[in-house]
Amino acid sequence: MAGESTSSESAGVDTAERTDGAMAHERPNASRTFRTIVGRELRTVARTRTVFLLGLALTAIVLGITWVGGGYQAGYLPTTVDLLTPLELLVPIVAVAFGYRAILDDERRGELDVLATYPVSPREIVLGVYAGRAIGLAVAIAIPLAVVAAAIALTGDTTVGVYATHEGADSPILFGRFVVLTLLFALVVLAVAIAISSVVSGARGALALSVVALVVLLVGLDLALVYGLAEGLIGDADLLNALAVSPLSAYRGLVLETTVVVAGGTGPQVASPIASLIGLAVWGLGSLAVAVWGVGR
Amino acid sequence: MAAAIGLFVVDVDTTAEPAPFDDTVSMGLAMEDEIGLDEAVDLPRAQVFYSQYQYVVGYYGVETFLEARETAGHQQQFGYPLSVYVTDYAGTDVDLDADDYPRADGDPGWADAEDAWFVYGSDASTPSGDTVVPFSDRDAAEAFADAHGGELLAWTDLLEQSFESDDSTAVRDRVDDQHRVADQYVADSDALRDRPVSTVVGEDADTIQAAIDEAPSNTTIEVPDGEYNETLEIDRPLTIRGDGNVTISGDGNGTVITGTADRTALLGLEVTGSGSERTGEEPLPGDDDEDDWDQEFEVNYAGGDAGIGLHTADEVLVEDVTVHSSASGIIVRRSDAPVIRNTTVHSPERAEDDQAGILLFHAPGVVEGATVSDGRDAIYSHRSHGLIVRDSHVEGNRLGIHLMHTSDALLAGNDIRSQTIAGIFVMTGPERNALVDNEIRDAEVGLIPSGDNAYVANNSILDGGTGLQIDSTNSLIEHNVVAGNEVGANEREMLPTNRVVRNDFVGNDVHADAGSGPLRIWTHGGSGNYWQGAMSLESDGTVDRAYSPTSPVDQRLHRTDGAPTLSRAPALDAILGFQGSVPGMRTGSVTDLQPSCEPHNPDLLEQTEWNDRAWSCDRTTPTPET
Repeated sequence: MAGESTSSESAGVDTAERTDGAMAHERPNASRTFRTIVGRELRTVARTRTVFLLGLALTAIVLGITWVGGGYQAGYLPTTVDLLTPLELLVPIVAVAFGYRAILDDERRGELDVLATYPVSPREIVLGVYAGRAIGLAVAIAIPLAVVAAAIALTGDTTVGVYATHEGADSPILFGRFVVLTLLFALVVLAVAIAISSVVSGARGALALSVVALVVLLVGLDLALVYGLAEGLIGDADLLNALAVSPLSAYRGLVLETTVVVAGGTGPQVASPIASLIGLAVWGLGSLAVAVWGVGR
Repeated sequence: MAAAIGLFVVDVDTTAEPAPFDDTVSMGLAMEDEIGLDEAVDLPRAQVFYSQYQYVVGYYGVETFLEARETAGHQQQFGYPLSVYVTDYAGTDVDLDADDYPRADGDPGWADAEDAWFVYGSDASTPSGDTVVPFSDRDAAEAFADAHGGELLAWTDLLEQSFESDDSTAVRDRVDDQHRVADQYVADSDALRDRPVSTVVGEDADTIQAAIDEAPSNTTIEVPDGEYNETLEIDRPLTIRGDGNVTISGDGNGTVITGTADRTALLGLEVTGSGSERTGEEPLPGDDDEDDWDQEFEVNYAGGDAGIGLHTADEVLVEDVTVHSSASGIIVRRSDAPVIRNTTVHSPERAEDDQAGILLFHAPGVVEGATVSDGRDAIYSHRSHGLIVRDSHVEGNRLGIHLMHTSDALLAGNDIRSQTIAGIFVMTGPERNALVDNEIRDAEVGLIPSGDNAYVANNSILDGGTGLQIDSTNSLIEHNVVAGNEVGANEREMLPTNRVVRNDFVGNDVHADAGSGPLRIWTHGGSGNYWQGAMSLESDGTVDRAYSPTSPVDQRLHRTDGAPTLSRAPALDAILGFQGSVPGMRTGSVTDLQPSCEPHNPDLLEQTEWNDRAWSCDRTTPTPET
């Protein structure tokens, strides 16, 4: 990681300062451009102190929830269950914080205009910015969850010694699934934030649109599903697939389906994994497409 | 990336090796039956690894598991079975003994249930009834069926069969019948009251003992007013009736009145002056050649000195009698249908000199209207299956009513006050006891049901240390009022198989607590309990969220200002959202998913001083005591 950021830094200097040299060369190959932009984003993330604060706060909250819910003694699956709803709410907020000004700042500082003089396409800019921020966001989310997993693994269990015990359906694999799905969810919301940052023209607008997006994501879409169900717009047979429309519901369904249901047994199906994955992919890729359009404008 | 995808492809089910059965958390056999079994007997057993329960669960009898899996809430509490192992009798040359219990040559191993063959409907049985006999090998199973009857079933076919034995709801349905049985015992004893007077002491005989020796059987000896310094032995069916204030005073040695005849009756007497030996010596009085596993207990407990000792005598009656005890008050041993009514036992001055007020040893009968105070065990029962103790008053003893190896008993309508250890203490894992309509106050622990399929209902357990200490399995605990205790109810059994519903918890410091074991869900069939403090923001008379008496915030709702506000924090709601979903993996806690708004038992509550605390859930500003 350290080596990577050093090399990115020199690459960043390349882009920012040796404009004349770059002009003289052939169009640089696509992967090099991409790495350059990613490196620049990572440096931005690393330099922003509030990002660390955000990471620390998230770690504290996740550990706190695990403690309140008795997760350390209970195991991986109960902790997953305890963390699911809080993370549904927190992950979008963190993701939006990571991304809502990413492209806007470039635009306001005129860097986009500078970049426009290079043979770099809006698609490369967006993907580069997104990948850079995504790495930072993934680290900020994965670390607290890794700490929790370590705490569960290390703290002694509270079983009564005279009896034979076993793990049942509990397993670190289930928690691993939860971590992967949470990261996927975060990356999708980050894409939405990047899209917002590419279409607004000022910081105030970015903040306002971000709040609107959060309200829609956190509350609006799920309420719309409830409304649709109540009014008969969504048939009982369609609900499983309709859930994929809301990234929160898609994420929740995937977590329940791949972790809790494994230990629970029978009952109505909680989610359609394929539909949920498609839903998340549409939100992610669609948002990035919007961002590309916004940058190209 | 591949690793991330791999997490979703890999199967998390682990195959576990069978555990030694003694290490499992087991059920399905009363301790009495377990102790009484010949060592050569090898009962069929099952051990089950559940997806959500971290202890291996052992079942005596494969059918015990099959029955358990059908009970409501079983899968919610345990998850589904990951693996089931059953006793494998293949290659053990299994045979049935005189009781039809299986006996194997050597130690049977374990077979995976899915690969096993089961002989269903054979002669084989366990102390609990008919049993299924498993084999890993089809030929061995066929050979067994040829010898002992029954048909061969594979696991999937066996799962289709229905297995039912009396559960705690059957115990509930039995209560009224059992009261009628008690009424009948009492009615049958009328004949002893109505025996004609044949002898009057002082007129026809000089002493009571002389009268006993002379009187014809099945007649009454009348004892006029006065104090009699005598030690009596009754070996024929006679009624001895005190006429006025009659005191029979022993010489401080042995038992004052010893009866060994069926249908002996003692009416209207005051008895004092027994010896103070708490333990006895062989031979015990009476006609008795049984040599059981509890022989030693029998000599030690039932052989001690007492005011009245009735041994190997059926259908005896003790009524309107007062005993001043020096060791035990009344001992009844090996007796069918004894009736003890309206008797009072004053315990020795020093409680440590006491054995028991009324001690019933292999003596299932009726104790009603008894009063026992200031002793060790007020009413003690050992292996008196079907005993009925009702409408009695015990106060200031160590234990109020103490059951050892006693199943199918009914303890009803007793008034139990100020016991230093426990009001009602059921020990040694018996089955199907009914504990109903009792009022227990100011005990260190109010009521301790243990064993299997107990029915605990309509009791008021008030102002004590711990109200209910739940050590039982498969039991129904309903319609009790638990109020004013330090801890209302404490579930200590590791197997989450009890149904605790429709009880009212009011004014306890903490309404409920739990020991080792999983999260217990005290909600069944849509009904929960009433918890003072559980509150609602809805106006429709329902509580809109779960109540967990073991949660740091919920347990303070009824007594700490501000707790109701904190309990509504979205963060707490977010964590609680899925709490009920994997109960088996959580530890040491209790939750009620559907707490009720109003008390379930207003009539019972009204008789206590806690009624005005039982505010309904929509009273948004509770008024904790000031």
